[in-house]
Amino acid sequence: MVSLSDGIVLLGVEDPAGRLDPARVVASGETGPIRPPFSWHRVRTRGGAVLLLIAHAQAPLAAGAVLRLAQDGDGESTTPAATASIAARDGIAALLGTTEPAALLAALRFVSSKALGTLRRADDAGLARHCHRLAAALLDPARAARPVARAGEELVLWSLPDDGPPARRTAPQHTLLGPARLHRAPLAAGRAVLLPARHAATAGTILLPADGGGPVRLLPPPPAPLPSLTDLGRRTEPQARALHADALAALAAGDDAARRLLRDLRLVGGGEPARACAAPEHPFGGALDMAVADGEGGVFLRGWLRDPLGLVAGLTLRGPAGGGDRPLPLDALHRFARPDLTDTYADAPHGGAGREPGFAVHLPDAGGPCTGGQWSLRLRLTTGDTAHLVAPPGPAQPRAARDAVLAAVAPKHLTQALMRGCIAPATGRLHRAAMALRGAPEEVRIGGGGPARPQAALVVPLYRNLRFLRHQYAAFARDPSLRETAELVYVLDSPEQREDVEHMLRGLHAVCGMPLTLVVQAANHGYASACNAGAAAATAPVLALVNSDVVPAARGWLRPLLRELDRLSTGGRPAAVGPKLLFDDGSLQHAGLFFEAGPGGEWYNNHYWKGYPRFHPPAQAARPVPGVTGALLCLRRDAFEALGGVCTDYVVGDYEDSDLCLRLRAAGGEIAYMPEAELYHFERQSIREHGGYARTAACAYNRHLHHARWAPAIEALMARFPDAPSTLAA
Amino acid sequence: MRILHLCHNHPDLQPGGSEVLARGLFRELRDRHGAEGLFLAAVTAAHRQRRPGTLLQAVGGAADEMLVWLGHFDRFALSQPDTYGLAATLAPLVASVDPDIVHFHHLLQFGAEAVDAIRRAAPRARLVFTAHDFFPICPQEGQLLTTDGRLCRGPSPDACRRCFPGKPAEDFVMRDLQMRDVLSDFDRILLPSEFARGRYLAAGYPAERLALMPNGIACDGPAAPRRRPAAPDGRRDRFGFFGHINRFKGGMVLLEASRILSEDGTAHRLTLHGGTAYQPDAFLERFNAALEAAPMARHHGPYTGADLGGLMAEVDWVVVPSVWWENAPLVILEAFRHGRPVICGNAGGMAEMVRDGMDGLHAPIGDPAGLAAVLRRAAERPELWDRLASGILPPKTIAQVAEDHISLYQELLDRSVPGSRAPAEAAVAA
Repeated sequence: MVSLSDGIVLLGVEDPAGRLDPARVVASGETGPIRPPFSWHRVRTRGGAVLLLIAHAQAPLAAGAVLRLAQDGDGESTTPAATASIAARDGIAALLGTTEPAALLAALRFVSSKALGTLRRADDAGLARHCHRLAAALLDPARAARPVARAGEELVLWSLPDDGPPARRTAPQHTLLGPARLHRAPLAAGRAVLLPARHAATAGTILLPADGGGPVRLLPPPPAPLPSLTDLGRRTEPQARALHADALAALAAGDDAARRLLRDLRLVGGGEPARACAAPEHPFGGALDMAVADGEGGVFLRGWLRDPLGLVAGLTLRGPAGGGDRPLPLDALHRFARPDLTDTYADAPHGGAGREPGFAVHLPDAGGPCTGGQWSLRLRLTTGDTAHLVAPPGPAQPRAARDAVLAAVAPKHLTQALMRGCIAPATGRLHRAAMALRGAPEEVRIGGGGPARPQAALVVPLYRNLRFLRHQYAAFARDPSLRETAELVYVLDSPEQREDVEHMLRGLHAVCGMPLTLVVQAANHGYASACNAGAAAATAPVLALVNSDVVPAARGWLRPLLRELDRLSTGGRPAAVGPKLLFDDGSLQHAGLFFEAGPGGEWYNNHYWKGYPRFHPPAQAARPVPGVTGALLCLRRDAFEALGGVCTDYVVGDYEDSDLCLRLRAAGGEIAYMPEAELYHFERQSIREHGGYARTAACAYNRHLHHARWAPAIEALMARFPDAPSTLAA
Repeated sequence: MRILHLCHNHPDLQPGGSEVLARGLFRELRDRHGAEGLFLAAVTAAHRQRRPGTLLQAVGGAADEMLVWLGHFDRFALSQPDTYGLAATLAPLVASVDPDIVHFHHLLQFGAEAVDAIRRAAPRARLVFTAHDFFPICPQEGQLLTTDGRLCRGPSPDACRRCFPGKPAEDFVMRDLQMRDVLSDFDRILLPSEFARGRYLAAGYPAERLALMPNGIACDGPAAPRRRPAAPDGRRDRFGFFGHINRFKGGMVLLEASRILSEDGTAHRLTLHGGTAYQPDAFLERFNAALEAAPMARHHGPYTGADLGGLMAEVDWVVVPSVWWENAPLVILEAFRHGRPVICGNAGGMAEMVRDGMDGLHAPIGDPAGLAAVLRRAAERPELWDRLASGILPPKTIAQVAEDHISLYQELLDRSVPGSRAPAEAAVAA
């Protein structure tokens, strides 16, 4: 027995014949079984084997006590095998009774790993001293880990000696033995070990590599500053490049801070230049012009291939985190038209780009949650040669990555198969990641007073376009029926405008005097989040979600909506009501929302009698409708909350309104159109400002998502509204 | 009775018809009817510098007249963006006046925001608006005159878009909705002519709040001799123009008519009285060329109200050749006061004030040859002048106008229950 510290003892039981199985051995003292946690391990020596037991110090394990050993026999009663009387030794070597380095190393590994693991005694100075002393005795003075580069503010990259056995590339568990405590070295791959620089300051720290090999000294960093990891990556010697790649792989497998550092290194280091194969005189060509990690371990790729002669036999893909190449079957690629390439290669000597040179693919499991970094594609040729395509680094932020995926294929070349097979799954994951990064909104109260118990809250998301704000606010403020009953909540979804908007609203409040709450989103999170944040800031029992480009045609518009909502809500039934909305020329923009099957069988949202005269007789009657537009939608707060608010799965803002209506109906609700409330809606005035929406597949993505969720429900619903006109050719 | 009158300019700085009438009315109400309060005129960099630390400044020596500096105005939207200035300066001033009646003579410079601020600062006051022109229903300078110079039969959204081809359609809707909204809080909208009332009615403003309120003039100076002797040859061929020289008042049309008369040998004399301030160089060039081409015409430059009698004594006819509808030009009332028959355009507010063949003659608007024919007839038939001059009825005086206003104010105040202004919720149908 060795007392490693005040609290930990190590016992050795000679078992030359190997009768005791460390997995089944049961030890107990005179007063009963020994108290966990403890751990057994067999160490072979030239003379046989010693069974080691590490445990917390306790009476049955004290010097002089008698230990009974039994073997746990498959469900049978334990049979006593031996008894031993415990005697004190003053070191691990003495306990083992050998100086064989292999045996001592095995004991050292056992003790240090249990101290860091089961026993949780990393900071046990006595235990650490024992381990350190033993490791120092085992050191080969010629072998040492050299500090080679700085990584970030705190880390230093050490290179392990290259004479040992080949180290694993993924997550080797190296241990650091300091004179007074133990550490893990979690950031490691191959020969790279990244450690906080302070370990170098602890003189004599020894690294115990995970895979074979004896302990190595950590050489302290030289007085001159080390090069940065980025500098290392720019060197051309194979060893430096390999070490650099190992270091990046180590960071990629690390914690959030390590991955953040990796992202920063990639952004600052600039990475490898993207490489394409684009010369027209070449017999084949291609590029991997977009590779975007999807935040959940997958990757979205977009590129093109020109292979008029059939030279490309196969593809393999390599990710930034290493982990080897994976084959990418040609028929897994979704192909699409790229008229730009067709033009470029129209006169290429060996043949053009073909009809659909573009490709896109989403690989849901491409290894690791790595952010940023470069992906590359090898084209295997029929000749046995390879061509190497390198993608530019992908966007570092999930929202930018999502928008890149949505812009990857021109909307007119987007097929349902492309959407379903690669755009939608990648977008869904990235959107989720972007939404998960949402910060908390800020609430600014402007003015006091107002109704003590407002009947309704007007919740107005603002995004960039402020053209109507002055008019809309003043129109609300001048309407006595609103001032007496409603509270007003503006939600700014473009926080870069915060100063302007707050200044404008405070000025308007100074002349009009209607109090309001301004909720400022932490970043542009889209319409749904804005509505939800506004609803959370409101107190009234009814919510009216109002677009910022909706302006009343006359005062008193809220009352008929509230009246109809009350009527529909009898008995606690969930309900929603929408008004008549007008285009700027006075024709109908909205008289209720219905669904119609559009091209490709997807359900599209449409409005009744769009463009018809304002007083078109059928649009003059209040009536149930399949849904109402979110441009102005009234519902009770309890119903809104029961539904979980506006669904944030849609990108930027579209289809959330019909989604809300469909969820309301699924919960047994009813929805009505109320023409006594008339407002103008200058449609699409704000979404037009959103670059990520106007020219990308966001709209098609939302429709796809909406269709995938609701197609059967819509079909059943529309069967109940056979009068809905159709404007789309099915 | 406490009154607050608001005017887009002060007549001492810009003596336009509306400004003169507004201040004259305010003083008449004060001096003859015991009303007290403030005449507050807007002013811009065109006439005054803004003073540090305040929007307010004095004008002349009057204790109850002030200026409020309101630049940066949006003339299209009739919107005053300086909401902070309005709230900090105008609101406390209005609250200290504590008016029973707030009377806007124009929304220019003040904007919808000033109405909002004043309504809050004087919540019990009755609101009166005089539409001296068509600004609330016409974004094209409130003249119902198209950008290419044609009379607009509107207002209509499509006509508005033709005047502002680059302007987004929703801007017209926003402007229109806001004007209706703001004016729906006014207890009366006063129109100085039936023509103007008709335009506001056609635009959908509610008839019960649109009231006819004809203009009047101060009659304190001596009138010109009613029976000015004819020239020795018996002709009544001296024509006078009184008004600003700009493209709307029709000075150019009149000069061209004079040129036509000279060319065909019709002897006459044309005198144009009026300044050319703020006119673009291109216009002045054309004006001077037209003057050059009309040998029987002279331009005499600006005049003051005190000069008017003397100047009118020198002419037989007063010509009002405006190329837009006009509303109720004071110069017609002045001409009648001095016994001069008026030759004016045959449409709009001016045609309503001049009875063709009774106290004046109508000529086709914007048509130099047509106007020349009417002038020739007038010059060559002295008996026509005699008949028309004797058909002139005395014009309404500012004193009468003030009495009309005082009874209107009283009626509005009698209706109001203190502390509960009936919100004008009957929305204006757009």
